[in-house]
Amino acid sequence: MERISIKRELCKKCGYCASVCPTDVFGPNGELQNPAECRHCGLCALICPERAIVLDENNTEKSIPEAASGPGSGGWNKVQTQKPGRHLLSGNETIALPALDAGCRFYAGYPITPASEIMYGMLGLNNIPNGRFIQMEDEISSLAAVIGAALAGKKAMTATSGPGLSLMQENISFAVMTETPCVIVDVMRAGPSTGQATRPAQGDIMPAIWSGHGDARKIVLAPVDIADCYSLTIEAFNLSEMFRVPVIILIDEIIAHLKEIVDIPERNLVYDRAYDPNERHFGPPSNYGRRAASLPPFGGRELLHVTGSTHDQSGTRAASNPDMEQWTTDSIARKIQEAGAYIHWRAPKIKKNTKHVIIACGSVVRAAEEAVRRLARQGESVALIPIKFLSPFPDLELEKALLHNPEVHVIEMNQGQLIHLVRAVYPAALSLTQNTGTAIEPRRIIDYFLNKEWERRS
Amino acid sequence: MGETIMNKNDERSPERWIRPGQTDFCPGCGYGTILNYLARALEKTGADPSLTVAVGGIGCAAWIPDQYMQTHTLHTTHGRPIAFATGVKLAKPELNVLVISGDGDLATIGTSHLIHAARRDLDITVFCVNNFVYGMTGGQAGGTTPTGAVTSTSPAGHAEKPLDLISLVLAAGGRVRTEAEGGAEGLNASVESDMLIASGRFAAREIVLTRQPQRVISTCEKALAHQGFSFVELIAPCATHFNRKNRIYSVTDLKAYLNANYISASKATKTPLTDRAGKQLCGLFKSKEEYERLVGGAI
Ligand code: SF4
Ligand SMILES: [Mg+2]
Repeated sequence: MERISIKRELCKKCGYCASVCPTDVFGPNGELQNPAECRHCGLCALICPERAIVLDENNTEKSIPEAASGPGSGGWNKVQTQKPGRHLLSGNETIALPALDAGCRFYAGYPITPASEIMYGMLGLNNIPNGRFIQMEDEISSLAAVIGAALAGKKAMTATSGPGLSLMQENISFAVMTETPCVIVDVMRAGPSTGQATRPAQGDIMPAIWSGHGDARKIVLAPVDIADCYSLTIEAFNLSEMFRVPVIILIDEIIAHLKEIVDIPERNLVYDRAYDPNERHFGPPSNYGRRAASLPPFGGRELLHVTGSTHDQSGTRAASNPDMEQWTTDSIARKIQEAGAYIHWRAPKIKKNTKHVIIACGSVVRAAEEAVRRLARQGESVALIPIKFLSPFPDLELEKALLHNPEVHVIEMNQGQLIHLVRAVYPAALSLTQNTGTAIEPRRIIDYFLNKEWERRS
Repeated sequence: MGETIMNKNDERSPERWIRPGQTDFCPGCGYGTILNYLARALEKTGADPSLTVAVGGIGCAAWIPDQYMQTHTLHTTHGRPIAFATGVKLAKPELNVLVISGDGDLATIGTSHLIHAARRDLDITVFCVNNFVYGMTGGQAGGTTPTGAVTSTSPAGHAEKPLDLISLVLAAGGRVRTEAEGGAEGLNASVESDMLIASGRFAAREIVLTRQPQRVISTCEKALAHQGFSFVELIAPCATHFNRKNRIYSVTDLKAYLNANYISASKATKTPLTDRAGKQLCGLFKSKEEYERLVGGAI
């Protein structure tokens, strides 16, 4: 019996075998010419790109490691906070605290104004067992490292400002496609480009919501004060882990550097990632509830294959199947909707006779609160709806709140971005913008109402 | 002569690192061979597939892990696999983390991550498969395309100089002080003390189509076993886009091309510089000085 045989169905006739064989076993295209000449040296089997050469007929295919259960099944836990009680903190100083309280154990970042203080806070990871902090070479690699760590089982975060968010686009899309939980903080500064690096703006509302090419939907939260910086960061990690989606926390430079009293609770409800070995790990789980499919970590007995190419529920590439592309984008969009139902945001009660409603987010909400108070003293009927969830946008709730047809004014620090989200719900909404790299002050809003500026503009 | 390729008494076999079936690589492409080499090297290290994460970027070479390796796999964005691998390794230091990707991916769009991972002496192994072009997108020139080579974006011959990846990695590779030397102080203390190991430098270049596959496998094995950053450049010219355009029509032509352009370090030491001008060195290099001395100051 010959010692050598070729699996014809695998051979591509490249001739590599002939080029290394010390005798004349093979013809130029890998055909078995003189099998009796074989000295069993094994060079051909090593060089063959298709592993088509078999030297021992008794060889059998070896089994792969069997799947076994990994770490705990995840879910909700009441977790003790590290620094409960009353603190005077800025937004940037605050964010590291809820991140660590939510179980974030990996941070990768790159210095940028006005976000760097968040990185300093995350240095605390070095004092926590299993905590990892690394300063990377740019924002692209920062988010890449965050995603890698998340797939290895850690809750992970990065923070940046507009220029860094621009660099992260491709990997944001990757996190969406691979359903990798991660949290990204974007401290908005005045732009475009380098713009005014130390000055506030809200120019990243649309760029954050629509960040990442290819319709990569995600969750975007927008704190209006320091208390929100704490609670919405906890929320960001919970949402990210539950729905396996990147969550962007959007604050402007004013919130980032404003110091305020914040009360940190004794405990938080924290969601830990689920892992069910009987489940498929991509796309909606069979028992579709308030969580995405479960994810085995790298290093578990069950081998995890992750790809940014379109893939099926087992993670296997399906890069030219039209149904799979539709199914993939549908399930991503549906997850974001589910997250909306879970968040269940309610608009503040507005009296039926309120003539004007201001809609704003971030630091503008604070100026608007003051303006509404002072306008009330002057007999003007103005209410305020702060928006803290930019994606998924709470359009149904907003629609209900505006049923009595008030005059709606969207106020923001850019050339008009939030206005487009509001007009999709309420087409008659009016817009007041200011883009000076300085805060919109209560005085500006009061003048706008007292002078009925919107009438003069149309 | 040679190892026993298949031992039926051994439950373990290199095949357990590879998903079954034919690859999608072009006939004449060396990437399937690399898959074969890596499986054997991994098997020799005694590693466990379920504790191994193989990371690739975008391009034909990235398909070696992403489509065919029976380990945890991570198919990342173009040029960034080393950055993703950094996160995986730091998050779970007990994992074997290897990156397998192409020259365009690791040494053109993603060069900065290669430099910085080497500088950090991060304990991962990077296999850079160099086929001289962007194979998957149609054979365009990149950062490693040889001067004069015809590609789809240099039809009259490539005018630029290629990067010498060995020189680059050896120059960037840092030696981080050990804890005893005071390296564990400062901001990155916990990272440095158990992740960044003072290991010396490790950069190797090997040719895939060789009569000494065992040597390539052994280099890959040493790289995998090396504590700290290790780098292996595997030369496998793109059969479809590089070879044909550069008049390499057969395996015989390819061997002639490789012989004309590469020389092993051991042979180089016995060959006068004038007789090996323009040839790149193959072998394992542990210091920039050693490499430069062998190259003869030509880099
Ligand atoms: S295009 Fe080139 S590198 Fe890609 S599989 Fe074909 S021969 Fe190999
Ligand atoms: Mg290439």
